[in-house]
Amino acid sequence: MRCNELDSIRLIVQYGNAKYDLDISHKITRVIGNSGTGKTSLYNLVNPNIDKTVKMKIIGAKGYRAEALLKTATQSVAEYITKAKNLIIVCDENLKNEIQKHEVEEAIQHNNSCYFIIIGRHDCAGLNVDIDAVCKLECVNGINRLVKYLNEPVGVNRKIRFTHCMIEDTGKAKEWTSKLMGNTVKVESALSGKETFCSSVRALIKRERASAVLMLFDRVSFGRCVTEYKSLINEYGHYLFVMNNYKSWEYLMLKTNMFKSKFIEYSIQTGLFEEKYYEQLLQKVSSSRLGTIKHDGGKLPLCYTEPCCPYTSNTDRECTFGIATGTEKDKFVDLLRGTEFEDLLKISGRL
Amino acid sequence: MLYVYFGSIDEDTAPLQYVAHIDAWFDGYYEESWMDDWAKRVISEVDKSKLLYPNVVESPWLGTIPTVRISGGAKQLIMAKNMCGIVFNGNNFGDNCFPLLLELAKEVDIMMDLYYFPEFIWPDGGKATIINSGRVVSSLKEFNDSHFNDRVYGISSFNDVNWPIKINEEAFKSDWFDSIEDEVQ
Repeated sequence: MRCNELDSIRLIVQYGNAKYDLDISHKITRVIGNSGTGKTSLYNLVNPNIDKTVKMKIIGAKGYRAEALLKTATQSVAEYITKAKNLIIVCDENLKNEIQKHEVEEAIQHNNSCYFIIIGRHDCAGLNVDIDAVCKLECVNGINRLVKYLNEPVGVNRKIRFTHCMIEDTGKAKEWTSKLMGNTVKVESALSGKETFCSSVRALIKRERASAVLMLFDRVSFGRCVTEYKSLINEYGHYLFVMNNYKSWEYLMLKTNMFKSKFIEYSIQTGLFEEKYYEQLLQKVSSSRLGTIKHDGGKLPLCYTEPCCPYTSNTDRECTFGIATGTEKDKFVDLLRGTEFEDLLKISGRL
Repeated sequence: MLYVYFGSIDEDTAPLQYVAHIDAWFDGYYEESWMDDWAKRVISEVDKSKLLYPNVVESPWLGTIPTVRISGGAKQLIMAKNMCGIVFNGNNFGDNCFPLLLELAKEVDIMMDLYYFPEFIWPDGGKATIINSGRVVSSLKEFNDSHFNDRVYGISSFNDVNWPIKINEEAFKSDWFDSIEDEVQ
């Protein structure tokens, strides 16, 4: 089994009264939370160097076992991860320096058969942890379980009159979203990406007294910002709304009607490095004589915002890009109607 | 007073007086005399365990364990009471450690860096000085406000931070070990 076609896997560990029953549903699970909840104990229990009788069972994948990530003299952490197969690798915060090394991040990204449990509250920028993969350990009836760290603010409600939209990305994504929203909703982007997103939302609310803010951020890699995001929600949650299915702007683009048929040809990858996967996929399926969507640089081709061939004098025969059969005379309606992002049309007043 | 630097310290270039990984620092340096009433309280409130003897703790989950197996947050709270002039990695304190930390900081000076945003109930009378701005905060709202506004992004060098308490150069040093190293050199 490859984790790219990720199934949940269940790790069960017992040592005396210490019992863990962990449902692992992401390639990387980040575990934070209170002290004394058993994070390091979990690491110690799967560490083969500590002499003890630990009962361990893995359900959901054959041939898998759990191991503690160790720093050894014989091979580097990156080498160990590169060679690792069919493992649940538990990494304690005492190895945070190793995990933050670029070669280790790369090794994790390219390992397609292992699951990773990363313990610690430190920055984990290079790992692209999904915000839904950040958990804490909670002991219920004597058994430690992984519980999602975050309680999200309410999702988008069509009746809400949004005043502002904060998007994590600058460049093309901001340009597209601004055009979509027109004069209905004011669109701003974070000062410099993910790590400034929450500060930017906060500043926006204070500066403009924004009363309903739609937040569009790359959920698939927002796990590093989860505690500040939670703090933001605790303070201003009643002003803030999210689209729960918004994984990244590239994902949104791929799920529009423009690429729907092409997107189906590719499997949706869940798990590690999802953000980059969508970026590359969008670049691939959007390649045409009219321009390729690259993550940075260049302008957004008109196909993304303007009525295309059927509405113009240009022939559509040579166009390999865009919707040739649009009927709405509104590119955004053509793109989004009937998709999981149709709510954006209502928010922008186009429906 | 609790002194907080909102940012992340580069542990590769930091001196020994930066407690990057509490397990390594605590396990190697803790003394039996540290296991006083404060340690008992910390182990009880944070780890839900009982200090039986200076070196023995009874955990409801792990049974009888050596003191070095208590949580990182508990270790750091115990060390904070007993050593001054050092800087802690605040990310080792879980959310549930902060009320105790602020209480302890009424009596002793504690310095730390902090990356994450802890969530806890601020104790009455608790105060912290934000090293980045010099601001003194006395509520979680002010603390978070400062965290959002004053923090330094990326990695900071230990020596670039203006630590308000003099770093104790002798902390974690070993006369015996250092003397042998000197002989070799």
